[in-house]
Amino acid sequence: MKKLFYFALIAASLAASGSLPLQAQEQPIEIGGTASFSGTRKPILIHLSGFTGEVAEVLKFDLYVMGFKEETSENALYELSGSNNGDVKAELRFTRGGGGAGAAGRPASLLAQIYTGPNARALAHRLADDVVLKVTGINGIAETHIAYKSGSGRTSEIYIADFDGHNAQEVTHDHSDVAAPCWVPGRMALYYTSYKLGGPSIFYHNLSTGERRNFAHYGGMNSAAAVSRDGRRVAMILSKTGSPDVFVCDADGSNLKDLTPTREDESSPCWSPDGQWICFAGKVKERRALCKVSANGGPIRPLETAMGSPSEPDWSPDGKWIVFTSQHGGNFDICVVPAAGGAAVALVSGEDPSWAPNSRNVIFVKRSNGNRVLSLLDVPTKQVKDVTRLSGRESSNSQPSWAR
Amino acid sequence: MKLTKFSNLFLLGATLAMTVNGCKTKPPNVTYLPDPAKGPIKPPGAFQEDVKNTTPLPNPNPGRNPNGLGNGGTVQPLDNGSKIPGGDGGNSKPLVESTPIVAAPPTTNAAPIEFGNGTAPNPLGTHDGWNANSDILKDQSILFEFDKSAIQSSEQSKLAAVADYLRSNPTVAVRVEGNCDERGTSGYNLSLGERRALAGREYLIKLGIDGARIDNITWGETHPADTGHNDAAWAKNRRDDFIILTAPKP
Repeated sequence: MKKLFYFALIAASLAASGSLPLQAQEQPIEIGGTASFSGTRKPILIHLSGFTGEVAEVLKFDLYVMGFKEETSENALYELSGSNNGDVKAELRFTRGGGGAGAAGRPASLLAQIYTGPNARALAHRLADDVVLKVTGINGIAETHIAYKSGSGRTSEIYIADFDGHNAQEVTHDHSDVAAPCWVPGRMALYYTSYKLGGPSIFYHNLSTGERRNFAHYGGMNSAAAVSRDGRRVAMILSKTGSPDVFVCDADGSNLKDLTPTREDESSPCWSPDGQWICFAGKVKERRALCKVSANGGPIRPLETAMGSPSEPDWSPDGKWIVFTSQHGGNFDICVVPAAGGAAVALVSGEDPSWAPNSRNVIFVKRSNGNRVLSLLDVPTKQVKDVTRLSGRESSNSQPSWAR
Repeated sequence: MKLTKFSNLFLLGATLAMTVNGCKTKPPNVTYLPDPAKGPIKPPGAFQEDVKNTTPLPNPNPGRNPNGLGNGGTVQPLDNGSKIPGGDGGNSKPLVESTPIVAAPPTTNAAPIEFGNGTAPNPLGTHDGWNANSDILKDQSILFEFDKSAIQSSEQSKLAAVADYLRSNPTVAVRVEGNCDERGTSGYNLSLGERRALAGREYLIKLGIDGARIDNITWGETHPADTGHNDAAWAKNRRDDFIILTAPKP
């Protein structure tokens, strides 16, 4: 906070001296503990004016999800003004809470753009991302996508949608049960689990061509596919050896290897971004624990979290954090721990988290009256917004995977 | 402060101990499952579905990309926040046409998936196409403790009854279906349900039943016996069901 204050002073003086538009930066993420990151940041105060209807709604939603908070013109650090009559026009200024008309005169413009296109939502998303990039120096996630399981019980399908739940599209219509969708990094392709052939087997589905193939259908369970960042290797859970183990193989199915030949049940493998490690939910001395293992095989190492019954880990794209679900009784918390292990921080009630490409937002699942709702979390500020639910078919949505 | 240091030491010790011991190694009595189809993973394309009749769905690529604004969208700098720049283009970004998403073809009213050489894979085991009967052994479903997959002594008589039925009916097979209550996370429950199904399978093998007659499947938490959200319902849902499979008449 102190840093931000000094920065504000410098920024203000620059603005007052009429220098070039500011490239304002939020304070950098400090390494060394979750205390400096998870749930400790104050939201960035911004005032919006001039936008109406859907554009205003989208801007407010997106900016809130990415750690901003609306404030009065007097108290906001930033002012985003504009209009949306067909085109979206917008100007962003750093006002230091001066309402845009302080003693220094009209503050310098950080962004002044006109967005043209047929889809107002898309224009507003782009503007929100531009604002986030200008203010924080980090790419926004307003134009990203998610995949998830929709439905519950014996019938469910895989869907994809915008990150906020709009423009949802059914990917499968097998009238079967599905689980664990997972994007191939940077590609229009998913892996997911389907019972279409009887038991759980893993499918690869190219969303551009519709090509679908059965990737793994060994005896027993085939589930929880996770793809390395380069797309070349796939980790998954197979039980063909008589117990659910973490396996890894190449993207063509070759070089299959059992990384956890234990009697216990492992679940939910995920990759470190450098492709060296696989983190998963396992058991150590009968107690549930997060573990990691070299992607090429080796000893299983417990990852200290100091949280009860951890499962469903996901490694942040910047490599620094692991988000996971901690269970106590029938309740679940979304927790974040440094990737090297340590004391985890519980952020919000929920389960099955998946990182956004910005290593800041997480999509997760809330239970509500027997149904499951997707929700978006901003890890540094703990701000949460539920993903919009648009149709009756999607009364229960779960197991989200954020495209990255 | 001293207490903090002490607890840190304790944590370190615990971590080291766990590192040394690691997770348990596989005991010798774990049985491998038969592969459903010969050659477990077919070469790419062998299971490719017919995509000729699919309907493309319009959708942009995932991730931040130029397609987010849809066809014909542009971003241009505002001149002093008011005037729209002229036709010189300014800093506008060219936008690529978005890639359509193609859903998997529906399978209800369509021809079945072609599986290359015609041998459909069967992750259930080796009894694909057999008739399933869930009534015969419905009273023999075995229950598990919360978060456990060990066979409780109270359930052993039911397993003995399942084994007796299989011995008396040598032509039938059985499918062990593992289930969980809703209190675990979904990914975890899928693995736990599988572990429970495998525990049932192992026990039947111990009682002398041929493993080739036993299929297994995990439903995770998706097939509750009782849809309530309380202890009584959860206790009924942590279970293995035994489904009798009979060969289809030729």
